Amino acid sequence: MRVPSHLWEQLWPEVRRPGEHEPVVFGLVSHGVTPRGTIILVRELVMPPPTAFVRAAGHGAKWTGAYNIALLNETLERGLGIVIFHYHPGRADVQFSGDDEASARQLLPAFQVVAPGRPHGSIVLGESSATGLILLPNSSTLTGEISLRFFGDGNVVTFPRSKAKPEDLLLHRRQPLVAAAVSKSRLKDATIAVVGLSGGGTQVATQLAALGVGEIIGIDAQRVTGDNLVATDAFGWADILLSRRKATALRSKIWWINRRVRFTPVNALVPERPAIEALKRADAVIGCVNNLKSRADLQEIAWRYCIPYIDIGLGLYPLDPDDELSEIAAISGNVFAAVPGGPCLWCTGFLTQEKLEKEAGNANRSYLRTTLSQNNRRPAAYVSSFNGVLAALAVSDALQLLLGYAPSLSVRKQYDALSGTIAEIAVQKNPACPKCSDVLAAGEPLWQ
Amino acid sequence: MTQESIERLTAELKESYRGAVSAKDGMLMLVRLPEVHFPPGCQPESTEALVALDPTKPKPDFYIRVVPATRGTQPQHGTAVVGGDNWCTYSFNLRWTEDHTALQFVEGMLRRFA
Ligand SMILES: [Zn+2]
Ligand SMILES: [Zn+2]
Repeated sequence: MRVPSHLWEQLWPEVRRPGEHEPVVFGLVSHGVTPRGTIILVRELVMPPPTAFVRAAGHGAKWTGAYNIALLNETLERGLGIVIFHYHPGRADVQFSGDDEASARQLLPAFQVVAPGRPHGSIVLGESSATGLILLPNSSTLTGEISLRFFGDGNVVTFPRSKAKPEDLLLHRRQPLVAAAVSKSRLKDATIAVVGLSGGGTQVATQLAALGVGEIIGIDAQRVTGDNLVATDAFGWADILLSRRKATALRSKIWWINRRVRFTPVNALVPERPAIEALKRADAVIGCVNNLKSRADLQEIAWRYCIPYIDIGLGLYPLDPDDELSEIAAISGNVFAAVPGGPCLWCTGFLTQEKLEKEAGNANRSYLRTTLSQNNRRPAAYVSSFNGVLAALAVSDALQLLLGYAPSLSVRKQYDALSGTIAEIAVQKNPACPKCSDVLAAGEPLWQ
Repeated sequence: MTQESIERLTAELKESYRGAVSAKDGMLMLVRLPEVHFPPGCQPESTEALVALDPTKPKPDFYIRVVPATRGTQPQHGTAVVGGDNWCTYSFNLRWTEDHTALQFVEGMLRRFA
């Protein structure tokens, strides 16, 4: 189950609010299916008004039948499921109480009758753990096998945490970057998809391998060409000689770096189906593509399934675009980490409908935006080191998401390769962003 | 398109195409048609299609699973992620207004390949 950051910010204080009765928050959820299991996505929260509650004997909260019906009508109208959240205090791992279980066994099948196409559940949150019961679509048995993931401003937290000794946890809290038990297991448990295996993407993948990320999914449909050799150090002359696919060539390279890392090559273009299926099961996506259309597609898929999306790109801009031999005016790069619930590429204006239309009308989608690039006389540019800077920044953002060593990611980093400097640009969520309201946590459409 | 038009067109599509299903996706109403037939001479002869009804647009958007080859060549087309799935798009300026039927829209769009 995944909770975007803006909803977690509301949910966490609300369930812990002291009051007459145990506070309850309803999550309206969609879902998506992957080979690993069902992803439940919290799309919206509903905070019941105090008048909805009735006094209940024993532990837990009860609410009026009228409120129940109003809530069910809303979920039915929106094609969503219901997850009930509440909180148990204390440091120890939370447990479902007898009352919690009895109420879930009664309510969840009733929710399923009204909205059979979506999952329903009841979750109890603790200080550093979560547990609960879920009723999946087309299933009549409740399952307690859940993990809850919520997004902060700059990191991802998944419950249950893998079991760790108290001294290992203390070491991790104080020194999150030390390659010890906790940080190693968090990296080993992660699956990161890298899209576009050219200058930037290959260097991202090799660094992820060095860090010990459990699985790297490499997505690219092209073969290695001569141009790639001055753009990255991940390919060699033999890859060109053998005309190897980028994803296949990178797999060998990754094996030499760290043979415990699983590298899954996907020879497809985004948004072809094998690429979408591979992206869906990733814990984070790093997009290293050279056009806006692919970025828009990646942002869409990432938001739909609540997956952090880190975007990098490098552009070379001539002084005079009409002059084939124009001097370079600027070489600039971008790194931006979009965390579900925070600002997206549309919020920041990096993507706009106008820019996409302009790009679609212009056949030139090359990194090198000189006119030389429009024909076969295009010379490759020596940008391996510039790509390396961007790759390193993107991998650092991924590391931050997984290990949480710094407080926040809400800045876009702009790299000026000519001066060798990086500027931080503050980014803000746009409350009117259509992608953040329509696509975030939308899951798979409910066909009926 | 008005909300009433969207509801009418959805119902028409479900009536006209066997096995058609619909889903709300954000602001959009999506209708998936399991099989639409291309004009004679196309390869393949039929495909799956998707109609997206957007209240902010004057016309529905039309997507198909595969773009057919007509007289051996495949017309220019693009890709789009709609409802989390990959679809093919193509440009065809169909004269269609909300006074027309959903069937006229779909069959009109398919004439691009005639
Ligand atoms: Zn409880
Ligand atoms: Zn946004």
